Amino acid sequence: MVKYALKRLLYMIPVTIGVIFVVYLIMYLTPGDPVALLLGPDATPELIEETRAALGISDPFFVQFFNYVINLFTGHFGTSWYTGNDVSLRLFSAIPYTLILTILALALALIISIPMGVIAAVRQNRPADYAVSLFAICGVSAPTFWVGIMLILLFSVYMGILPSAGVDSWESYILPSITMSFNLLASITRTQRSSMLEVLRADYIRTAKAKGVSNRVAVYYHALRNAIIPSITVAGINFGTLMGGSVAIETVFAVPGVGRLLSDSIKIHDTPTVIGCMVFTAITVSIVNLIVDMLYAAIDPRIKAQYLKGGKKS
Amino acid sequence: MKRALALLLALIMAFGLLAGCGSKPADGGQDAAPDAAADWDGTITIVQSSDIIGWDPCASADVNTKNCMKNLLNRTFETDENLKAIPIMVESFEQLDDLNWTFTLKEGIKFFDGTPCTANDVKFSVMRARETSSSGKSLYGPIEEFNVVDDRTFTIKTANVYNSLPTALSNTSGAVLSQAWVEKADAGECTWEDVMKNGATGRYYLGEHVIGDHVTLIANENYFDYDTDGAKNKELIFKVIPEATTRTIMVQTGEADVNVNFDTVAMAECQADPNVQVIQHESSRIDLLILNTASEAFADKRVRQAVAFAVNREDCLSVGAEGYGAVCYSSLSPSTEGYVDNPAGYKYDVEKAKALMAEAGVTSLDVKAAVKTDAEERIMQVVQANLKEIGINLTFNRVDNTVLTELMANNEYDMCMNAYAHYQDPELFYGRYLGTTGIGANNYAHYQSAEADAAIAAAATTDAAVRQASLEKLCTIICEDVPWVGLYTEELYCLARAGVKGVNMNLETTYWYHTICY
Repeated sequence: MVKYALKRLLYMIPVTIGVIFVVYLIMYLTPGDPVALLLGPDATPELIEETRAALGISDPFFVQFFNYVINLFTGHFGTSWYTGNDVSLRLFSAIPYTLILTILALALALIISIPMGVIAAVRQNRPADYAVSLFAICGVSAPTFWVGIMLILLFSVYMGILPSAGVDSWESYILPSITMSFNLLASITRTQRSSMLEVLRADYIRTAKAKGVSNRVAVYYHALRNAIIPSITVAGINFGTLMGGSVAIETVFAVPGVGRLLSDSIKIHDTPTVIGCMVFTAITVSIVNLIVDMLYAAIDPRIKAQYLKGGKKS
Repeated sequence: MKRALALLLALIMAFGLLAGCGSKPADGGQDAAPDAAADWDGTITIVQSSDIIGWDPCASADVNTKNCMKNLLNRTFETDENLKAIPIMVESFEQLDDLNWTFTLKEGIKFFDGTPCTANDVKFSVMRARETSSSGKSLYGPIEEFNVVDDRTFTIKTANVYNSLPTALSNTSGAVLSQAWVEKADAGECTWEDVMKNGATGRYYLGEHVIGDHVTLIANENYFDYDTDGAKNKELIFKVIPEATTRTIMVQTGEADVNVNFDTVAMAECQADPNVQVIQHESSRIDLLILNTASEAFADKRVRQAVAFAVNREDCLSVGAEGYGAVCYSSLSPSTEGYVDNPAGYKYDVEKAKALMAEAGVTSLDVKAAVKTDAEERIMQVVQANLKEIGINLTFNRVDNTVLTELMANNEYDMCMNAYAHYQDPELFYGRYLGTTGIGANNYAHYQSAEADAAIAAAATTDAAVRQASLEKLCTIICEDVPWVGLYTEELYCLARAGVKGVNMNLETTYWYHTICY
């Protein structure tokens, strides 16, 4: 298992270089001159050329790319073309906000969606199932931007009990984490419901019930352990994505997280910062996927047995 | 069951609509406006759309950055409500002749770290701006000699007549900083935040900057003019709120006191809300069409004039600025020095436009335009429909702001849109944007006129009457030659809590935050 984990960690190196290459190429081919934006309309052509040379933008694409990769592997994310600050400084100041939001949103989503999915499956085609399905459809289809604004209007403007934006206090995280969890909650609920339905029809559950196991034990002990795996996959994938930042939520609630940093940097063609954010996201997604795979083993003895035998996991 | 589901969905949507459209907030969510003054702790929270880019005044052209920095940084002059330069650090100044000026600093000006601010620091700051800042290069480029006479006195000699020198000195790039601290920062021995905490002389010093979230400025009680012109609040907090709706809501709920980037979408709602006040000011910003006079399509002056008659400016104002502004038939903003009101007699007159097209012998014309923003795209749709009536088939593409100069310099488009605000020095502005010297750079219209160049040159004089007459002549020439078709001038808005006083606005922006209080 350790060997497998190490191998997966090593795979992250080519993945990261691939991500840098693609993002660098996209930014390179995107029309627009970051120096013109940086210096403003008063800049003379000479100053623009000087600045381009100083930032290394005048170099050919592969020279820029190669230099960046070398710097990255020596621990330097580069310097922002726009602010002149170290990218890692800005990135590491943004990560805690996104991390807190993501953990809160994911916890909220899991706490609510797993029981809801189970209830919907156990009470299939009954009012509870319809209500959960309706909620899930609304959750998946409602744009997070709209949900965020509606929550601000309700809790901040009308009721006046929660701050509308910022990260000044713990209360500030309530509305953005609810908004962030809304969509995730719906998709996990749907996944949990369909997975549970499939497991409840399995032979071993029928056998357990035939042997006198109570319905509650059959559902919550035997069925849930197997039915929860797809939900963990969905949660894991979403955790990685959310750690890349939710641009809409971080913008509406003025959270200075990774998503807003990425979106702001794209607007101003700040390639080093964009790549810094993307590298961080790629590494996070890879690590989270690895953790999810490890969790499978903890939950499902069959998968654990595969690791122990050194079997190749499909 | 289906009917019940449909009913439930309808109820949810109705709730959403009510929540979204309602404008009357519940009492519990609001501070009553009259109580705000009594409860005020001396802190003013300002919400703005973007963060501070950096603390070196020479390094950024961003408006929000400059507006925040102005509270920390003193310039020798500042601009007032009418954009007139007024002395701040300077006790007296005199223009000795066309080229020579002398200035005397006020007594007792000190940096935040307690060291005295001298004429050497002024010279160092201005000359550094000339070397390193894009705006400093143009504003301080005409300075030929900068001599320090003693600790409080300095003289400046310009290469040519430069009436706007005091205005140029009010630019943020020329802010007076401690030479010792700046040299430390440039050498990497301290950060620029350290310079803002120790090496400036403004009404506030920097408390903290949490990147992406907020900046806190603390009132400088040792400010040299604290009793007469110091901060009227104890602390200024600039919060970065990118979303326009959230910024408005924060003022409505009392979480912020002033929104300096107010979006007019919420105008009606805010005007009806007793807890807030909408502050309005005319702007020098004019939105206009730029016609490429070097392109085949617009080489003939009569075709350009036809465009000026064919465009319905009321519709452009309506789609471009939701009707908040005033239509403009001149090519230059009414606040510009030497402005002449519509000297060519333009109005929305399709028949006149058709007659001019016929006179030019043009029956059908294909024109390619570039737009940069959503608003420009909406305006260009109006222009497209207007020009179709006179036989001009307009197509347009959305391009990035940063490539417009290059595209227009390469003659890739016949037309584009832009907006210009008051410029520090009209002579410098006209020369670069409408003069022959600006072709290939900011003169997107490729406009060449010996008459206009002569008027620009003649305006560079200390003789006020000659200057005024030259600038008026220039305005008339531009309106008749139509490299630019003026559409409308925008209005500036700022949202504040009811009870907030001292919010100052000028033709450019909200300024002087030190006067804001309850």
